[in-house]
Amino acid sequence: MNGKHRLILGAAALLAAAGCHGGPGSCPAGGVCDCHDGTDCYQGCADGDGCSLSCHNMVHCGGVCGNGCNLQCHDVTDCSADCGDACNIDCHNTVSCGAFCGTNCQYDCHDVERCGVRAGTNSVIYCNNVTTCAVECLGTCQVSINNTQAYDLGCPGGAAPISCTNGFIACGSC
Amino acid sequence: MDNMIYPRTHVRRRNLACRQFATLLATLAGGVLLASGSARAYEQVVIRDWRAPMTYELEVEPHLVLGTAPPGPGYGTGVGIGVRGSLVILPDGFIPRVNDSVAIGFGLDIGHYTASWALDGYRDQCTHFEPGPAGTSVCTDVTSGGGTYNYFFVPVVMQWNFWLTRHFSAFGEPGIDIYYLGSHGFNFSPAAYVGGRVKLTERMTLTGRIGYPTVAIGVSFMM
Repeated sequence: MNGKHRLILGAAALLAAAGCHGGPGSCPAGGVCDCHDGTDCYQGCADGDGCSLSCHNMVHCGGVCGNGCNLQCHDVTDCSADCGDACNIDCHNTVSCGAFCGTNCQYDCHDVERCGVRAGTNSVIYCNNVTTCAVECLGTCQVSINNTQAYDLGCPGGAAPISCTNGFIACGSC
Repeated sequence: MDNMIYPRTHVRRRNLACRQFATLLATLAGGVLLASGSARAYEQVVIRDWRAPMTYELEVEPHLVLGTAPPGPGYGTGVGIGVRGSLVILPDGFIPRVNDSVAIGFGLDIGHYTASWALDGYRDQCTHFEPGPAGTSVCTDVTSGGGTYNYFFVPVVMQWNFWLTRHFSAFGEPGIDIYYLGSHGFNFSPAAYVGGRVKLTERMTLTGRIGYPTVAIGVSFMM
């Protein structure tokens, strides 16, 4: 085997080895994917729905998912979540926590400076022990505000929120 | 007294370091030479000559590049093309009685990196943010499989050549690589290469280099 053949063989072996290597980046449907340490991590649900994405102990992180997902984020500077319908979003001990979610969303934000969520119909929002909580409801929704310095609830069409007997404030009916 | 001795000691140390580096390169080159099967009994060693066996002022080298673990926010392993131009500035090199020469090298390498080919793992990255309530920022799209990255590298190096035999030379290239990565803009990273040339014709060599951030194989045209 001459030098040229060895070179071609070596390059082919290197490419083959590289091509066989997988990575932790994309989360399969129904999968539980955790990302921690480092600076940035943004996870996506490769097959669309049903992922459980969590990230913690870093600077920026977030998850993008379809329907029926669980997104958790804590001990991060900036968290972000973008989810379809029937999602649970839990965000705590961060500076900011922004989220978009569809119908039947549960968004729980606590021990955070800025909580902000735009949520679909029949969503339930919790803001607890935060500096600012801003909620934009795209349909009926219920919001629980505790130990929060400032909050803003925007209802569809600029309608005024109503106070419920269970301590929630709501867009539409309680 | 120490102050009077120091400069000479410093020069001696520098010469020693130069010789050690030269020996290292020569050993490496010799190893490659033997491994490639190009070493022949009649190959004339010219490392102790004064002048390089080929006289040229500019080396132009189109090449193929391969890289992994690129600098900056990208991930993966990439392939691409590039060109390097090396302008000889010291034909007699740095070391007396050694056949070396020095050139300044500039180039452009374009590499397409695929994160899923990464040898050192990867993370998906956000590709689109939208403003959310309360001044937040929400990521609405992420890469799939780590994404792909198009790098533009501009290496600027000092090329230190050692003309070992009439047909083989080795070089070391410390420098920097300025790179451009799409929306991430410009940045730079340290660059270091070692390489060798095998003479094909009077004015053409097969040239290869390994190092960071890329490895390359190409043909050099000596002008």
